[in-house]
Amino acid sequence: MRQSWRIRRGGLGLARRGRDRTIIMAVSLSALLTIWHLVTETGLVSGFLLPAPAEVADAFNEQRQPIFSALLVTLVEVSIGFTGAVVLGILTGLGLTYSRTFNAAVFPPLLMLNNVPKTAIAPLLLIWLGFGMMHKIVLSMTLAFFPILVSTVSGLRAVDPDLHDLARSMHASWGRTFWKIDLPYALPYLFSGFRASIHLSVTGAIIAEFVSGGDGLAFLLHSASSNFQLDLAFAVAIVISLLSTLLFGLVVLVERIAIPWAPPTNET
Amino acid sequence: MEAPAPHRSNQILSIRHLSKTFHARSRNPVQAIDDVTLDVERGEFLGIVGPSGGGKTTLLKSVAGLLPITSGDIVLNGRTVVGPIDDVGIAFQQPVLLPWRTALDNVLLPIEMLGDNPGTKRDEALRLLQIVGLAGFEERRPRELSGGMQQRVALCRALIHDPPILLMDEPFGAVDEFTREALNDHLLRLWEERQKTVLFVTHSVAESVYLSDRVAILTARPARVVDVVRIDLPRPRRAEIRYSTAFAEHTRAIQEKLRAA
Repeated sequence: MRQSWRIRRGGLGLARRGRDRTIIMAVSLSALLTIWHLVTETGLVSGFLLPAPAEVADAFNEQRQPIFSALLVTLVEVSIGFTGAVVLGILTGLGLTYSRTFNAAVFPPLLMLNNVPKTAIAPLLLIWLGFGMMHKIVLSMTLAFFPILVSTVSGLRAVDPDLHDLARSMHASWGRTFWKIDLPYALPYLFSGFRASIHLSVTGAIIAEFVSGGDGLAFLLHSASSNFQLDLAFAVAIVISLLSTLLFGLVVLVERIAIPWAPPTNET
Repeated sequence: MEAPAPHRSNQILSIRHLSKTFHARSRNPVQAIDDVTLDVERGEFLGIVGPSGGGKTTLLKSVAGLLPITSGDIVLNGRTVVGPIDDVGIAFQQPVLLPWRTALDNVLLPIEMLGDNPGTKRDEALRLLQIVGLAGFEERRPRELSGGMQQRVALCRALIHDPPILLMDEPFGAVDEFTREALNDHLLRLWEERQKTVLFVTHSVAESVYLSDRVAILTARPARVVDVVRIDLPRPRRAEIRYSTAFAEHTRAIQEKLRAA
């Protein structure tokens, strides 16, 4: 039922546009690879500074094992960090929206914290939390937290006051109003917050790994470039980008499943 | 406080000397309603016309018990209104449907808000949707419905818990002329079938004449009752009546009173 109207709504036009997009993306990606290949092949840029695509692929193949185990470590950090940000962001957003006292107590320090460039506190967090995984998780969470908080608050505030009048008129309890009206109303806003913050949670973990080492992807990248293994560095950088893109895709997928009724949003 | 109005068995709503002043911090108090007295009979269709932004919404919200009043009395169905009451069905200026719910589930929302089992009202919801010409659209979501259709769903939602009185706040103000006329007929059909009392706020004089048994003419900010005019056009009313001389005379008379106010 749901599926059928999506097709009717989008029609063939959307499907064709989707296919066109895929073709254009494939073409531009191969063009980029070709240029990269030519630039290194002709010696326009020294192979020392820019390894050829084939070399990067070789480095990836040779170092598959360490790359994958580093990927796993970073993935765990990001997953816990992002999940923590989701939980804390939503809870704080609920508190700010529904409790005056909580709002008055928490809003000013939060505002101040939000104005601090979060990456600047990475060395500080290192001293507090040590070189372990906690440092990476907390920085990942700190970066991802604010967009989720903001989207929670704006989502809950976006509920049409008429609906609250309707609920009051029917003597609906706060809880019933929240579950049946406010929360579903806020969900599309929440997901736009998730989409904005998933990249940030990857960034947070990567920065923490740069600062404090460990077994994650960024440390591998850092040590590869310190050893002038630029082919490996490139391979790891590509893996990081892919990780970030895949996680974003996962959020979009969950969004589509969770709120199929919401208008399609720009997915860039 | 005055002595209560003489009791009449067919009177459903009595508004006595109602005044409402908003006290906003850092701004001067704004008086929205000034000494409004209105009596409404059971089953009556009362139109309320006046300029936009003139306190008519405040009047309806006061009747619903959604706003505290400054002074006066509102007695609905024999009880003084002191807080929100579920004896009213409300239709807002916008349909404000829940986008994740189907038309049917939107109609059933008030039942769930009341804490009742929506399953028990499913047949009634389907019946209401059928009366307003939405049979076959029960499973559609608001995004798939036109503005006029959404407003019809909202109308059914206002009626689903079978309230004796329907409060309508310019519900058809946001749709085009043709859709509005069609919606008026849907509303009249529901009203005839379900025998409700209706308070219908509008800034369209023609709409109020077409629908109402009586039209209350209000001034703007603060709202005062200038006059209450009886519309003695025959019922059931159908679209052709708009071209009659009687219709035109009523419309002109009300417009003149509004202008003089």
